[in-house]
Amino acid sequence: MAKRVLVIEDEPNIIEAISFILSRDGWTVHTHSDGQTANGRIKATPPDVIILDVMLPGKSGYDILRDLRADQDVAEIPVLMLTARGQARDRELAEELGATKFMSKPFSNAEVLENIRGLVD
Amino acid sequence: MQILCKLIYNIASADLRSERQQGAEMVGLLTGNRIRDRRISRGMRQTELAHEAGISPSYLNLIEHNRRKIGGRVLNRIARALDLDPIHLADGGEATLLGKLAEIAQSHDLDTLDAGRTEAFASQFPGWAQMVLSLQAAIESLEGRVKLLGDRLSHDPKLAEALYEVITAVTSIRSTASILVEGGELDREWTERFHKNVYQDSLRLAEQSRALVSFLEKQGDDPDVLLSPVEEAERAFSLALDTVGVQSLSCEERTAEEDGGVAFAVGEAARFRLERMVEGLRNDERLWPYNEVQPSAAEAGGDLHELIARSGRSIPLVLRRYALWKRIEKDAASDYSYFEFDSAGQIARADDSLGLGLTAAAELCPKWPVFAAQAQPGVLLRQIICFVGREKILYEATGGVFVDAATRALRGYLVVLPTDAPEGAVETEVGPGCRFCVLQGCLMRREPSLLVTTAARVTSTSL
Repeated sequence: MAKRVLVIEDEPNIIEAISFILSRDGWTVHTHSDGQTANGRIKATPPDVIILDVMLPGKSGYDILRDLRADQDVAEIPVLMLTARGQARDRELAEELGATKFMSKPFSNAEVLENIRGLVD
Repeated sequence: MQILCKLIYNIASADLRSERQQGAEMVGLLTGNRIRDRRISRGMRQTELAHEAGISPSYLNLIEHNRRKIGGRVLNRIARALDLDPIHLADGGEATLLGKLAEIAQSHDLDTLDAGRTEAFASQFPGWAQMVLSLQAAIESLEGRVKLLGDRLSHDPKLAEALYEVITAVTSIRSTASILVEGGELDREWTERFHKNVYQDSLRLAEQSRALVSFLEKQGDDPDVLLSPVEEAERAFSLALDTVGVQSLSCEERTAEEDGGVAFAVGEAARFRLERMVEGLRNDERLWPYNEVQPSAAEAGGDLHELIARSGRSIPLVLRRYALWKRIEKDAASDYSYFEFDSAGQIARADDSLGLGLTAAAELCPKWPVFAAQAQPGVLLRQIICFVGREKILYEATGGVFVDAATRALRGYLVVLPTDAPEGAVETEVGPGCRFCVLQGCLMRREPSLLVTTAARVTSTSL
């Protein structure tokens, strides 16, 4: 059965590109672009892995991650965090909040695939 | 700079060894000696120099043996004949030059042996010495600029937003182009969609890039535009205090001419902060009027801890009022710094007369006592700080984290004053933030320093 990935990102073209490469790699891809309702979406249909952008409308990726880890029902879902800032501080914050892995933009498609596959191995 | 210093050292030490081999005696560097050394290095005879300087050879001989003090026109004529800046010959100038060179040697950890040859270096190679000073001044200027720009990139919302748009567009283009180029068989519909996406993102990228370049070009010439919102608000606050005074300060949107106020043009982020600062000032004025703070501070001899002990007021209020007193009492204004931190550890106020370089959203050194104070809310910490920079300077840092009565959130306060540390005092080394800190071997370092060469970093790691 195909693994399910939820991509929480508000940039349509990035969503389309990531969805395409993940689908071609055998993933069932779902997308969500609103930060405010992201935690509700995760809880309603828990995916096997999450790709989470930091900059989202309504609620930041950091806050979504924090709430995710605080909810026992979904706390264990691996999360690949995406950010446009690659500073050490952002990485530390993501790790502190519970991100499983961290990638800074711009990234290569190969990096995305490698990281996502690594989260479910 | 480290490479340049090492090269100069090698040249200077080679020449000194040559002099020793000839049995030359090292002498002190009075004006006469310097004239003589310079004359000899230029291959001039005494009679020749005396003639060019318009003095007798016998007088020159007395000068060179330090039996006659000179200055003014004679000094200038001799300097001109020797093709030297007169400051290199004057005793006062010598002290300044040597002092500055010694500071540079210390800041770059030149070992004791090299540092002791500063006089010889300055005497024998005055041009090189002046160049070292010029280069150091340029370095300090660039360091300051880099730090300002770094801070600006960290916290300027417009710049951050513009950069975010650029990076987002680049990410999309990279990912989509990669699919088109490396993706193998793509059906026509997907190919057209991805081509269209790349085109849209490239337009967005071009537009954002133009806007960014335009923004940076406008910023480049105006140093005021490089101020952060915290700095902008702080500056406006200070100017307003100077203009209208503590009791009359308010922050309202109306024409300055209406009631003798003064208008400031500040950005939106700065304005938000400024309004909070003025509101805070007015609240403090109700709690402890400034005309009562002044005599209390004077009775305490300007000592912060004495004021805390005598006033019977809450520590945060005393810290805020003390900082205000230091700000307003002009004579003392130059020798303190005052910072406030919000509950996330971010700088909310920065009145940095000491030039410590703590700015909003900067990567602050985790060794500042206010961060240790987060683990002990309500406790006032007092530490001797050795600030690591170009010169090692001692300060007394007094700070603490307290619950804000209005917001119930934690608020940090830090007052920094210059100090002569008492005998045996424990000093804590703090820096300007990891990215610009030259302290090596610090266990709390979060990222490499821009100011330490790769070779030096490797050396420190291997230790």
